[in-house]
Amino acid sequence: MNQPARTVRRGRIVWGAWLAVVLLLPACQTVEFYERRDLNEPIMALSDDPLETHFYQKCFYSREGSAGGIGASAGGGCGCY
Amino acid sequence: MLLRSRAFLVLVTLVTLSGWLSAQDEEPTPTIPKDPVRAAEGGGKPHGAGHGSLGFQLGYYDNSDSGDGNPFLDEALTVIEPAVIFNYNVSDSFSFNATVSYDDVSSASIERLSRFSEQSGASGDNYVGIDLGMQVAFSDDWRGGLHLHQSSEYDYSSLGFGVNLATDLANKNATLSFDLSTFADTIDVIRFNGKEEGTDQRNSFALTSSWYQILSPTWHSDLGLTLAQQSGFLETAYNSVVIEDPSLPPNRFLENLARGTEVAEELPDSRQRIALFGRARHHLSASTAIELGGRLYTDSWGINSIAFEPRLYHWLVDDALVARVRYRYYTQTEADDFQDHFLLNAPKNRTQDSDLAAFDSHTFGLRFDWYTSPSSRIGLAGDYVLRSDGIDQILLAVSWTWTF
Repeated sequence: MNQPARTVRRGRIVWGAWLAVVLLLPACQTVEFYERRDLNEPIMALSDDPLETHFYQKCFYSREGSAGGIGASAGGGCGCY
Repeated sequence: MLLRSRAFLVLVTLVTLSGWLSAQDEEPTPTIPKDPVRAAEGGGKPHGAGHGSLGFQLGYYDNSDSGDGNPFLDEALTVIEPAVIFNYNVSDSFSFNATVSYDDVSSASIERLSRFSEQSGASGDNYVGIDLGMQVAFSDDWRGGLHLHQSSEYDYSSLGFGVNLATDLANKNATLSFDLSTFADTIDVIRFNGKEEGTDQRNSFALTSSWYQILSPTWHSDLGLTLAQQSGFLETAYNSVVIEDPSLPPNRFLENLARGTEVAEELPDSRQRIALFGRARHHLSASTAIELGGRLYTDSWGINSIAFEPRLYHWLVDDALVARVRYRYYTQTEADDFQDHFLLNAPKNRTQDSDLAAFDSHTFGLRFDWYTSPSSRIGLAGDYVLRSDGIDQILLAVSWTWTF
């Protein structure tokens, strides 16, 4: 498959995935502040320790061709190893 | 046709979003005080003027070379990294942070240079990086920030700049955020044989949009999309490719004494990358939470990858010791320009970098966080990565964070 056709196919996949998620959003219920106690527990923090993230980005995920772990930018700024 | 279908998708997206947001606005306004901590950031994070945190971490990374991967080269690598991070809330609406890290790197690829007469011999690499950031709350629902990056190594320096913007939606049940980052990197092109070819540039540009969503009182999630564009010198300067020729004598510079000659790695001057990622976490009980995360990736070099990562969080001692167990599966296809063997003729673009080959990996990780007091936490983390190409990795990190 040539490069333009492949790029178009990828674009469709991304748009399709994004649309699927947006269509699912109305199914979400509204959770009031007083109902969020469990979500505020330390074990529910979605953001990892920033020091750990920093280290793993540079030494671990950079060893993959798709550089960048879950939730990470696939940008530059690192000569890496 | 493509434009029309995209326009239709955009229209449907906007209509759906507007309808959903209108529905959220119809919910009764809460009459209780606002939750002081965003659920996405979890509990225990310092908020309010005059508060902040200071953290130290010592990280250790090592991968050996079992002879697989690139058979021509020893790919062993060890990195030791101390790092410090500091956060401070100047006021209720303004905060800044700084991260300083230093890497001591020992790698076979660097030591190998000493075998060539053109290079006096580098025995190691040292990386120093500084990241500065600031966040401003414009209103109760809008916030934004800037971040700067500077790092340097003996043959590589990077200058980065980024802006981010986030808004809370639907009674703070959702957060939409954008991050725009750009990096201007300068590479001293020192080839595998020590030959220096001046400097070159690498420019990177990445736009990330993410959506945080509370799904229920015990579920929340994050979903994001990154589009990145890189251009300039995208090779690893010291990487080489072996052109095998049975008529030549064994090459003493190669790990396996193969018969062939080395030439520099060559890769396209631009790369477009797309990554879609997400995670959802569920509060199972007062002591346990589970998470499933994943990532889909594709780029113009022909690499496609899938990763998924289930996690388990569990309080071993209530409010004192928490454990995190994780497993990560990762698989990728090889880059279009990758080949295990090049015979006689080298194509214009070529690489034998193991990280651009097809492989899969299984990562097993364990982390403990010990809350020694309400303001002090000690972290201990370890991961072992089993790669199908034999380049197994071990990562260890110990950290201490003090909040004030």
